[in-house]
Amino acid sequence: MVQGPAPVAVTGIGVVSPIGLGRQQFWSALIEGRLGIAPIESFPVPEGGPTLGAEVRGFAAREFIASSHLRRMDKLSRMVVAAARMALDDARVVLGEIQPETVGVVIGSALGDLSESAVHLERVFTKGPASASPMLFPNLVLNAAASYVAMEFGLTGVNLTVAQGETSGEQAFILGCELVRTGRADLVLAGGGDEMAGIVFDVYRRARALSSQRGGPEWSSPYDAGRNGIVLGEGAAIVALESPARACARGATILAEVEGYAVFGVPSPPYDWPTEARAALAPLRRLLGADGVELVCGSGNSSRHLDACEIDLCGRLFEPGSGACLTSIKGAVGEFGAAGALSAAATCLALHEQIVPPLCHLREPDAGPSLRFAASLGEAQPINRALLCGLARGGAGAALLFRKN
Amino acid sequence: MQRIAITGLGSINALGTGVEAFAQGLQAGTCGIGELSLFSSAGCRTSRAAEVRGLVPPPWLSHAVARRASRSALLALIAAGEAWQTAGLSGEDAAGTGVVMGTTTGGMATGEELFRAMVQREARRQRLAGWLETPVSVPVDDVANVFACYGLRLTVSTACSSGANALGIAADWIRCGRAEVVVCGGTDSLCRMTYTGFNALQALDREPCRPFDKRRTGLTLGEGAAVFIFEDWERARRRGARILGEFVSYGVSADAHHLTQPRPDGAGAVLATQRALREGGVAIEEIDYINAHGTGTPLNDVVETRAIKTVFGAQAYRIPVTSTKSMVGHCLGAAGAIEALASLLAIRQGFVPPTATLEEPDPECDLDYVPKASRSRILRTALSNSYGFGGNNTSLIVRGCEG
Repeated sequence: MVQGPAPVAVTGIGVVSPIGLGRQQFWSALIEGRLGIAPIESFPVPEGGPTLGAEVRGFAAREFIASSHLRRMDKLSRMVVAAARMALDDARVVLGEIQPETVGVVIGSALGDLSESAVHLERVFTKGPASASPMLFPNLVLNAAASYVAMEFGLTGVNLTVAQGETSGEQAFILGCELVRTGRADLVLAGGGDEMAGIVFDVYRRARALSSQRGGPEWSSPYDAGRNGIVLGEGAAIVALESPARACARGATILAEVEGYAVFGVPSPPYDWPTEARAALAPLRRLLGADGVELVCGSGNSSRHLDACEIDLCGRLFEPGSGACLTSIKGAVGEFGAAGALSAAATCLALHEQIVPPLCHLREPDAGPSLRFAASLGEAQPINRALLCGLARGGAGAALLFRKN
Repeated sequence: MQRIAITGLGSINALGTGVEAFAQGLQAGTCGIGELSLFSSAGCRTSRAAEVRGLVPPPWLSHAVARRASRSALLALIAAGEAWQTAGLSGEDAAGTGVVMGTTTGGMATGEELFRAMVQREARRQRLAGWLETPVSVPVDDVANVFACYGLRLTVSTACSSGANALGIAADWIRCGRAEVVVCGGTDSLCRMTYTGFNALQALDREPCRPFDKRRTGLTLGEGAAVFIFEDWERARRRGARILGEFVSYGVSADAHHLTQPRPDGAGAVLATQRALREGGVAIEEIDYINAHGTGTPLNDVVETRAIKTVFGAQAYRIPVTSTKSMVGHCLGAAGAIEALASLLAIRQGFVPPTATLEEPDPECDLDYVPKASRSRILRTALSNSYGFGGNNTSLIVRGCEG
């Protein structure tokens, strides 16, 4: 973007993830190559098939959520509200000192509170509509989590919830930047979350899309030649966004700056990831401009399709020897709708800490020598610009270009 | 501020298929609410719904898409097809065109039927595609893929304000230079999830909903889609497109109060309207018509009336305020888009749509709600309110244009 609009500052990050809670825990686990993947505990898994998932464990919501709304909140809302709390704290925002109508909230979630949706419908279908709970239904709207964030912190500004498959997290992040740029909000809590529900695991299992279902070990190994399907995960990540001028004026630490973003579509088979994404080249080239990037945080999720598509895209986008290093955090946190929100958090932290997040399971990269892949542990490296790129089943694409402050 | 031209319109709801049928129904004050036939309402307090009757895939839709599309996706595709055609856009225009739509349930009607068969242990082979059709974002993917729109793409899900927010976001995309043409609107089909949910909340009226009536006890669910083509004004003029109206501005706020109830003082609703007026540089004297959220729940109609009076003061009594939900029901994620369309059609054809089922006004609701029959009147600028679960408030402003 040669004469792009003003950058947006990321001044706080909150994370509820399978590899830890809060920015510090999440980041140290990530660069040490720790995995959030373990046998699934939150619902029974059919025997003789995949058993692994990246679940959020040891998460005590009451440590983060003070209000009485807590007991009404579903699991997804709890993760999102806790991540929002951590993002506010990380950004050193004092609630009493800001005008609540100037704070926006944008949450991305592909599927929302699916587990309680299943409970509601099961009651309706087995015992009849009269047995449905009036307490449960309000949580089933996709925007329940964003509304709980507003209620928890008394935020009366713009409040939006968006979804677009596996780009839901990136899309919320982008819309949050847009609210700052257009002046619709001075500060925005943006990000997303999704939970791992039994019904989702069941559908992916039927689609034979889970790792090991078509042979090989059960693992999440983005971009590896031996990758064999996805491992499902869950989590939430929220960032605090504001104009760099505002951040500087209040003495906030700018973790990274958003230089620009792009949302696009590529032709795709129904319900599946695109098989090739050449249509993404033009919008991504426009976004990158003449300068290169040192880091690409992709959406590679260990599926045959998506990873091949991304490798091909990066091969076309970057000249050999360009210095761009490709990584994906889904080897550690698994794949889920709003996983892009966690990838965005990781990309900001990579710029702040000057460390490339690892590809913990990469043994034999599935690409020619032109692409550089991240190491199996976090590696210190100068990073000035980083590209976050997400592709979704159905063909939606979203990318953010970050730079070091 | 860069102007947003409306160059295409598409509609489907209980009043019929197509913009013309909708306009006729609104002007005639037809109530589209009848008996629910899509699924059993046994065990619910009512069987009323504003259903789209005889929904079939349009002939131009490929068999493959028609076979798998959920009811919400089909409604969206039908409305988008009409909008695309009226805008006279070409395949070349499509490549950079964005798509943003609001919905609350997406393909839930398809997913919940499979879920029912599963929990009731019906021995029937289930197609995987049905499950994959369920997520809220699938209708937008379908519209984008069918019309080969490979620009921006987003699904907005802020409950009952989803459709209104989708229009606002589309306008922002154009104003920020991120798109020149955007297909935008809202879609939602009736499904058991929402029908039984609102039933559990005791929010459904046993009779067809009666917004602002003192006997009102709740809403009536409906279904439908409304789709607009938004276009950069200068671009629309350059290509000689027929400009059907203008999207002026929108404003958004949150109540931060309660998941299902509005703030009693209406402060969130007031802020949303004030933001829309301020952003559009529109004076309260310029508003000729308000399409109310007007659900027919006891609380909403009183709070909304209060909010309108707070913003408009004495002017509130001059402005006709109507709820077209009295004719098409509450179409949830599509409602905001359907009501923006109703407002624009009223402007274009010079009438105020009525609150068709209003007979005995609630003393606490003392504005001009245009009971029963529409009124001929020249309108230029209209405000449409949409308030969603979770306290999501959106107001938007549309304006007619000569020609």
